[in-house]
Amino acid sequence: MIRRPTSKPLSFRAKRWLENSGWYTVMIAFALITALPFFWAGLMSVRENSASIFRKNKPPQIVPYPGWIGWGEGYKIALKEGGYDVDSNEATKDRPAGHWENYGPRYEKKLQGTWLEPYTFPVTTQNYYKVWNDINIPRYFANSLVVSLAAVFLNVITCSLAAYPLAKLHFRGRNLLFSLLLSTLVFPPQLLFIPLYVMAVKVFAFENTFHGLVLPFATSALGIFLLRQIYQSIPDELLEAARLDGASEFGIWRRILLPLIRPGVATLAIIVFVDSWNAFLWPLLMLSDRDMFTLPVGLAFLRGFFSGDLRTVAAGIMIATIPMILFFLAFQKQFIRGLSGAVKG
Amino acid sequence: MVTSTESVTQNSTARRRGGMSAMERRRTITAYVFLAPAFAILILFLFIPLVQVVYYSFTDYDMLRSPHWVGLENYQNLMHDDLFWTSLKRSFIYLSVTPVLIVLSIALAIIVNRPLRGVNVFRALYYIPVVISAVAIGMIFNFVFAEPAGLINGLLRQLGLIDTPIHFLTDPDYVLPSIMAVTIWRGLGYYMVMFLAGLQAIPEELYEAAAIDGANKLQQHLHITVPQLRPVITFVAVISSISALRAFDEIFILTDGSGGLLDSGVTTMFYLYRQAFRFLNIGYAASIAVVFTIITMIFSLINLRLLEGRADD
Amino acid sequence: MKRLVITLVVVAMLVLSAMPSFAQGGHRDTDPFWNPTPELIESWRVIDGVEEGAELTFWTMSLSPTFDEYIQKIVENFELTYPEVNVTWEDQPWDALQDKTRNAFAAGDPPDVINLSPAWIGEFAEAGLLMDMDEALAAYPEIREQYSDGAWTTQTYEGVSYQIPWYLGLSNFLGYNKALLEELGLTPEDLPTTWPELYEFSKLVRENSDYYATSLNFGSGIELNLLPYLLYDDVPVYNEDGTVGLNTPEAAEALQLWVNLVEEDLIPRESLTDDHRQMVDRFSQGETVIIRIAPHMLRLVEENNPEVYANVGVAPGIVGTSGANGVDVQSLVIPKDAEYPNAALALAVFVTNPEAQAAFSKEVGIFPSNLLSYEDPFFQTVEEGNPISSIRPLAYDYVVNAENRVVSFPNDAEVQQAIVDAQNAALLGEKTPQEALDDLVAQMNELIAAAE
Repeated sequence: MIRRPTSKPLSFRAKRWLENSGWYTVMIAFALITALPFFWAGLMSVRENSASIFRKNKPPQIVPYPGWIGWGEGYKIALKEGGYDVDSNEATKDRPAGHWENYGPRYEKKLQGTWLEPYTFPVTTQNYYKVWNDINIPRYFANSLVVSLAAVFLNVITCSLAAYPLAKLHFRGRNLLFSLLLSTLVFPPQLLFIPLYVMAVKVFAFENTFHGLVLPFATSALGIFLLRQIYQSIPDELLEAARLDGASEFGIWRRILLPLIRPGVATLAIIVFVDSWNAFLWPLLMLSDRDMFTLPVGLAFLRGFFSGDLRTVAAGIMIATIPMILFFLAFQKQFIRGLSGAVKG
Repeated sequence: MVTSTESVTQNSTARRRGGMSAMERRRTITAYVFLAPAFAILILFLFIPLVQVVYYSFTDYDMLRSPHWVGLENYQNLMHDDLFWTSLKRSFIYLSVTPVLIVLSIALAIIVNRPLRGVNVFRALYYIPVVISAVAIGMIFNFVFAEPAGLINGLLRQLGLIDTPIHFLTDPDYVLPSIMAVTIWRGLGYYMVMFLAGLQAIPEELYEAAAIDGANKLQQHLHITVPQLRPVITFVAVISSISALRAFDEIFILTDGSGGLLDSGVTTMFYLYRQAFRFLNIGYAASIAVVFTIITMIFSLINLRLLEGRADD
Repeated sequence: MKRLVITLVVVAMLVLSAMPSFAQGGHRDTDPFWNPTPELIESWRVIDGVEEGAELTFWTMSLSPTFDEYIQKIVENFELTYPEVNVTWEDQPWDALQDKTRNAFAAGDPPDVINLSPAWIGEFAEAGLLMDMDEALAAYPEIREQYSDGAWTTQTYEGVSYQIPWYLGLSNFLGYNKALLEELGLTPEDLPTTWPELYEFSKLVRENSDYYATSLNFGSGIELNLLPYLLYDDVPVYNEDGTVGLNTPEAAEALQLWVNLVEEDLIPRESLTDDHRQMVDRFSQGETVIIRIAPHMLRLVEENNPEVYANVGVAPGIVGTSGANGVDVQSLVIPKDAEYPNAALALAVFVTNPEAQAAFSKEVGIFPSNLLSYEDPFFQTVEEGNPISSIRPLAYDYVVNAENRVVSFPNDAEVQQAIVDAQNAALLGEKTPQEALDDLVAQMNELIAAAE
């Protein structure tokens, strides 16, 4: 809503600007709290050596400038020789393909003597190359995607079906079932893994299968609870009218209710997606075939006993998290609109 | 097709006979058909394991050999277990995360609800902690809390604000609050988005009317925003308090699985983990789980009753 | 627009193919393990009665992806030696391996050869799930003799060994930062060799500079632990009457030394929660002068900070009053009810044979448990600019003379928790060392009695 300035335009606009900058300050303050640790991981992921950004008695190195940029093996050789460029058809066992160029000196010269200099450090793509090479990221990413999408799909169907009678139909045992459902939300989950694992392996042979990752989590008590709240906000009269017209319950559900709860379904989808994406313990227990790993499991191997310095782990974290953030950035409008509908009830 | 009057008579006759009317029976069957897919999965993968765990609580089971029955022995030992009761106290201390989270998330949601430029980017930044996986949290917060040159200590020292580093994870008194701070950090974006949605459902007219009546911003928020958000607040309060009582990941990751110096981070969930997966006292851990569930259920029901009760005023 | 960007990112990731892996040249060309002659392969076949058509699963701990080629070579050579057997190798991240193994046993489906940390063996041995290695190799005494005694007895349960030792970390050496030593005006002769000397050294460094002499790794249990500390200081585990005897005045004195290190700010506060990796990180940042380290951990230093690594020297480690050293062993265990016990035993013996272990040592600074490996000339070569290599000539003596004093107890996990609790209570000043030890002994007696 745009208010046109009236008789005292200057002071009004000044006040507006002050107010806005006040809001921006607060927003930036919060953003620092939530995002700074993550950006630190980002800075770590591009460091050449020495993970420490804060050093004893010296200023923190927080300003990056391009250093060794490149791809391929031969980084160590490049460090010694000052550069590296070997084509794939020229590659030999001792000199594999790769290209590394040091942009550092150019920027070092520019920054020399400026006040900024002690705060700077050169950047490298070496850590990302290591992660990409050691861990089959595209494969794991695809695996995680498949599993999470399947989980979302199944959850949406089962929860939207199950929540309807719990919200709108009066039948024998409704309260009992609902209380049972709620109690599962409260029970500590770790112990459940023990019998669940034995069952999954012995009874269902879920090892190394995608459906073994998805089926045990194909529905959720929280999802049913959530959608039940949403169904409850739909006026009964709508349903009564449809029933009087002779519609079957399934018809009512499919044609009237589903479109109405779409925003709530969107919410459920995102919650299930994030939970499934980040799931670590179950995929770890179920999967032994390396090709089938999901992303969190694959990344865990970065923290090996013998190697696995912080910078490589940081690069892995960035690779795993940034797509999710982009995803959220793109879809947040729908997400929030969906929640908005859900929450009105 | 049966007309409504006929069906009513049929129903009353049936009810007088004490059974279900045809329509009621049909409704019940329909209901169970709808419930079937979800409950099939829940029964297989949730209820059956749950019953098994409850069974374990009456046995002496170490996962490697078959369980053998011991009756109520685990529960009796539990009553005399000092560490269990201390851990319960800590779990309830952990609950104080919930009101902090609610207040901060609402504040954040109100702020990002304004049509300022770039607000979408800020929302994404606030959501980052939610999408970071557990492995990353450990690494990141080890750095944040590190001494003397972690993110917080290093920054404060650089700015000259402190001489000796703050012992976030190496002083038993600071361990639990530090871990709780991480939970709050992770929850901000998550609940902010829910409140944001709730805010966007509040009609503008209410604010305009209040402004015309002379209410300032703070009064508007207190008298319009908060009451309108009540259903969301209730939902968030219930799930976030259950979440807080069950918090485990952060504690495990930040104490490297040890539970903190002098067990300062040992909540009931952590104690359960230690009994089950360190000591392999699965039976005992199962009894902890059962007792804890009962306590949490009672608490949640009271919580729900209080919150929803006040809404009816 | 935003959606387009995201789609492109996703597609790019799915389409990009994996990069080729780096082949290590050098020593592999001359090493007999990488180029086995038919005679060598023949000589590797030592176990009889290997089941025809056996399918084995082999689990290792956190060796992938760094040692992919080496382990694959093991599998390849094993299948050449025993063509009737097929091996599937799976690597597990170390922090999940214990859980996975437990779950596997619970489901009745454990792998055939498992690489475990000795600390985890106790619970499986107690449950009677493991193959008795003393018995298994009783028929092959010449093989049993190949293994270092100290490594063989690293974790026994009721006097029986349930593991075959694989690779060893010779944990008790001291890494030092030559540049920092110079800065402080000290020489390698000034380096401490006993705990009391370490205390004095730390005081010296602290008084004259901003640095810490060293940081320690008291964190979470597997690390610097009270039990080995006391045992290598000649404190007896049990009294004559069979009760636990760890609370002697000497023990309290030793614990007091640790308490002093903490309370007088001679080590960084975070030593209380650090594990070995964090300890190495501190050393790599140039924050500490010396570090109690197994040489293979120096590889981490090299990765973290080549500048510091260039200045690293290695000296003998800090020993207790007994002067004895332990070794860090990585073990191989076999389930008692393995489907193909002879084949599994053959694999375990093969993995630990002289040539295989020597080859492993050439890949990374760990050392063989097999004494015959040390005949390879590699163990006499010291390389300029490679601090780890200066250990090599000393390794054989270290391994042959290694003494394992650590015992495991019934109800081991709870006992270990009690030990950590006592240690922390003393370090944080909640109890005096004598009190902590007295309480610990009482608790341990209770726990041991309860297990019977």
